[in-house]
Amino acid sequence: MKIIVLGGFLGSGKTSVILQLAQYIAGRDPQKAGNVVILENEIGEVGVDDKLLQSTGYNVENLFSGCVCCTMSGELVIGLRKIMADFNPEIIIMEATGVAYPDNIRKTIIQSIPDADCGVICVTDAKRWKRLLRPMEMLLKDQLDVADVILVNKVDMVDQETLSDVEASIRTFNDSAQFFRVSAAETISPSVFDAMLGAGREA
Amino acid sequence: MKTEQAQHHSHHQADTCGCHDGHHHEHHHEHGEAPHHHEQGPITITTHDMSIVGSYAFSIEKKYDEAQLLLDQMLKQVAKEVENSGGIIGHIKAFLKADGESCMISITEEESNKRYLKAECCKVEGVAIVFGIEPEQLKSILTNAFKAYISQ
Repeated sequence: MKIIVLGGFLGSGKTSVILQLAQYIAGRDPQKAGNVVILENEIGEVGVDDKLLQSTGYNVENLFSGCVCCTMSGELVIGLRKIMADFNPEIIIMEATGVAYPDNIRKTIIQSIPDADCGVICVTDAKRWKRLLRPMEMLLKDQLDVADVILVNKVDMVDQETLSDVEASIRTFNDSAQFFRVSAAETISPSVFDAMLGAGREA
Repeated sequence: MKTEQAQHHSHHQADTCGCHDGHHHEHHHEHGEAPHHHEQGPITITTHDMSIVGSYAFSIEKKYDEAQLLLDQMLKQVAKEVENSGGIIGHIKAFLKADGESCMISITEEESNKRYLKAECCKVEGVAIVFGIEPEQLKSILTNAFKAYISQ
C-alpha cells in the first residue's frame, strides 16, 4: 500500500493539489475512486478541508483538533489501520496540518505499518515564501528537508525573477528532492503526479 | 508581537513527546493531551506549537448569496486586524453551507399539499491559524469580526 504524506505550510495549496491528485489516480472511472482514501488532519476544532474534499465524492477520513506529527500520533496509527480494514485502498493520501513535521509522520507510519511505501511531498507557496521565510524558517526547513518531491506552487502569482529566487532559496533546504513548479489553480501536469506517486520507493 | 520569538524554539512542556527527535518543535500545550483550550462557545482558541488557532462556528440568517459576501468581508477584516496587530496569517478559512430549499408535504385526503421553503440560514464553520499575536488578541479579533452573528 502506498501512503503519500502531503505536507507544507498553511495555505500553500495542499488541498488543491490533493483534489487533482485524487482525480488523476481515479481517472474518469468512478469505480477507481474507491482505490484512494484521503486522510485529513486539521489542527482546528472544526474541519474545513474535509468538507470540500467530501463534496467531490472521495472517501475522506478526518482527524482534527490536533497534529498527528506529535499529539495525535496514536490516532494516526488507529486511523490508518481503520482505513486499511474498511477500504483496503491502494493509496492513502494524508494531508498533514500546515504546522506538521512530515518526518515524524513518516517515522510513525514506518514503525507501525512496516510494509507501507511512504513518500513525503512538500507544497510551498511561491507568493508568500519570502514573507514567511524569516519568521517561520525552522518550520519551513523541517517541512522541506525530508521531502522526496517539492512542489513550488502558485507560480502564476509571481514573476520569473521572483520564482527563480524562491526556488533557489528553497533548494538551500533540500536540493535532492524532485522539484516541480505548479499552479494548483490550473491543471497540473500528469508527470508531477507520477513523481508524487513514485516518491518514497527508494526511501 | 511574538514574531521574533518564533525563531527561538524554547520549550514549555515535559520532554515526553517523540516529536522532538531531530528537529526544533516548540509547543505551548501539554503533550499527550489535546491542544490547550482557552475558551468555549462559538469561538474557541487553542495553541499548538507557535500557532494560535481560532475555531468558530455560527449561523448567518441570510440567503446564501448574501451570506457568502458577508463572510468574505468578515474574513478579510480578520486578516487585516491580525496583520495590523503585528501577527502573521497562517491560514484563515471557513466553510459556508446553506440548508438549501426544503419542502413539507402533507396529506389529509387523496391530494397532497406542498409548502416550499427557501433557505435563509447559512452555517459557517472555520478556523483562523495565525502566528505572532497573543491568543487573547485573536479571540478579540474574531469576536469583533463576527459580533453580529455569534450572539444570535
